[in-house]
Amino acid sequence: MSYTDLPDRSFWKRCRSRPDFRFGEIWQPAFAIDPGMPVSTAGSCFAQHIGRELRASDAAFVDMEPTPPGMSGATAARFGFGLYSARYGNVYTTAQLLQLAGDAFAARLRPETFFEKDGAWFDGLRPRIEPGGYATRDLLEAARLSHLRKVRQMFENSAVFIFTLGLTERWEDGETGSVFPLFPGAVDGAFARPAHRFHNARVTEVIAELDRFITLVRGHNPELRFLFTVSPVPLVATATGGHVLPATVGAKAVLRTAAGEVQACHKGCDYFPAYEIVTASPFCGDAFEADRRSVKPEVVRRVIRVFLTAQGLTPCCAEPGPDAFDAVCEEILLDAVRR
Amino acid sequence: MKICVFGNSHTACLIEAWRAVRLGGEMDFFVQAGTGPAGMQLADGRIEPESARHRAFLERLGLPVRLDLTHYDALAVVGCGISKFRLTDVLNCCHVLGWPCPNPSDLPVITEPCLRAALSDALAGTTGASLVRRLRAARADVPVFAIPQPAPSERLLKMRCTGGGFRRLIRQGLALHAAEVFRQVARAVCSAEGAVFLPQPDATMTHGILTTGSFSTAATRLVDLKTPHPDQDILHANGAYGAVVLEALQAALRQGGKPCIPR
Repeated sequence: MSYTDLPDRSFWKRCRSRPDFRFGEIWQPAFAIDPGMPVSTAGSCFAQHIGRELRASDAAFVDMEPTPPGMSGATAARFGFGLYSARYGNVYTTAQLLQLAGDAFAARLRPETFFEKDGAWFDGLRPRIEPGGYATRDLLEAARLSHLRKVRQMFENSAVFIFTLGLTERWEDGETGSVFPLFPGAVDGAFARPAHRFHNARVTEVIAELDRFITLVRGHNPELRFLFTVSPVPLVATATGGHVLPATVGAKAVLRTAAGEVQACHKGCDYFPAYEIVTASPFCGDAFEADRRSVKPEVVRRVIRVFLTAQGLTPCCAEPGPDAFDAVCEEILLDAVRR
Repeated sequence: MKICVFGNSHTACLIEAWRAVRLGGEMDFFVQAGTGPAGMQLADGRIEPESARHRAFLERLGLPVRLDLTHYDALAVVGCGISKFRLTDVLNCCHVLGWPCPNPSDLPVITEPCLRAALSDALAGTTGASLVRRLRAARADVPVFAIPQPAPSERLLKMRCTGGGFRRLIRQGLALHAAEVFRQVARAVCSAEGAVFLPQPDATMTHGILTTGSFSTAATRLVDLKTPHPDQDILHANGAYGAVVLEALQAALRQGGKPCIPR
């Protein structure tokens, strides 16, 4: 094989010569997601866009904890419905993902992640699931166990699991190793503990966690295939004390590298370049809103169009309005902490 | 006292009762089968049917086809989706944490606040709530009442194919609590729209969440206000039920029935 055999898409100049930079060829899926194939999703808040579009496509989107009948979209979002294939909320890190799968298959509760405030009990691993908390600790435990059963069933019954990697920075319980979705003190001051500590995962850790996750889940569903993406959304804040820009670029580089490594090492794994389409497209221009963080709806639509077209899935017929969907990102709570 | 009632097929029992009893005052009805007169034309306080077909339907029933809302001292909306079925829709798909009943199908769990939030949204999204909203916007100075569809007939206890959610609530001893949840949520939703929720009178209920057989047999169909619903129908109530509801409506008006300002 030499360069002469390579397709046009492999050459910068030949991509540049096309107004769409040949995005139609940017992704050659390693496996097909056929109509009717059960697909589940998880990840950082950008993953909600993928889940929403899959739900509206002819793929069989797995929803183990569906929105109760009659509940509006806004209320559903407040209760963590309709975001992913179960009500786990945003799963920002690979450590969180591994923990979720491990807990699901072991029915592990992690009581150290519960906290009580004003007589109500809250789930520190799913802080935005129950706005008013649970009336008793028993109810919280029952809710967590039921949720974990649904997550287990999701892994067992899916043909494809799509995960969007979001962060390397994580907060964990120094005594038990339990990983939180975000800084517990940002969730609620009542949840902060001296044992909570910050950790910024290196690429080897992220790869190892993904390896263990894949091995664990395939132990229960050997045919499950994995599709990874990296969120293009910058960090709200870095706990490293450094500048948020290199922290963002470094984290994304780690996550992108880890996804590529896992894709190369495991059969049935693929990577979809949403991150590249948003952040590195030469013709995309300004992909972000005025806050320089939120991806513009039209860019999200471009990403989704590339995804669905490459998979041969039929997208939803109606173009959503600009305010039709607002991803739920509890990460923005970090901003409130600093103020 | 002049009242105008809007509704769907569940208004038939009130029309029947009104024509039979003629309580004091006057009453007009503006009805449409199915989800109700959602498409009615409402402009400058005047209401007209949405189509020639609807107009012909009202004429056939001997009901007015053009109404001026300024002529009425109170307005009421009947049925049109305001129903305990909105509650069982949720309970058929979810298990409520803390409710003392098993979850053999391992349904996804929700809390009671979540149930209430779902029910609130479901009721707010009904044609009934939408009618209340429109009527309230047109007439801010008169009371608006929301009257729910009657609970299903107790005859469903002998059936298998329909109303499983209600049977389950009764079997599990949850009917009274569930009915109270519905009452509280419906009252809050109606209040938020500026209406007074008029719950189903206790005298017409049995098993906590069903309509007594004597109030739910030989109900008249709205289609001609003559033909009875088939025996298998468990959804509609009869003229006797309509009379009790009319009494409750009149009593509510006597006891104040002040216009309610939307929150």
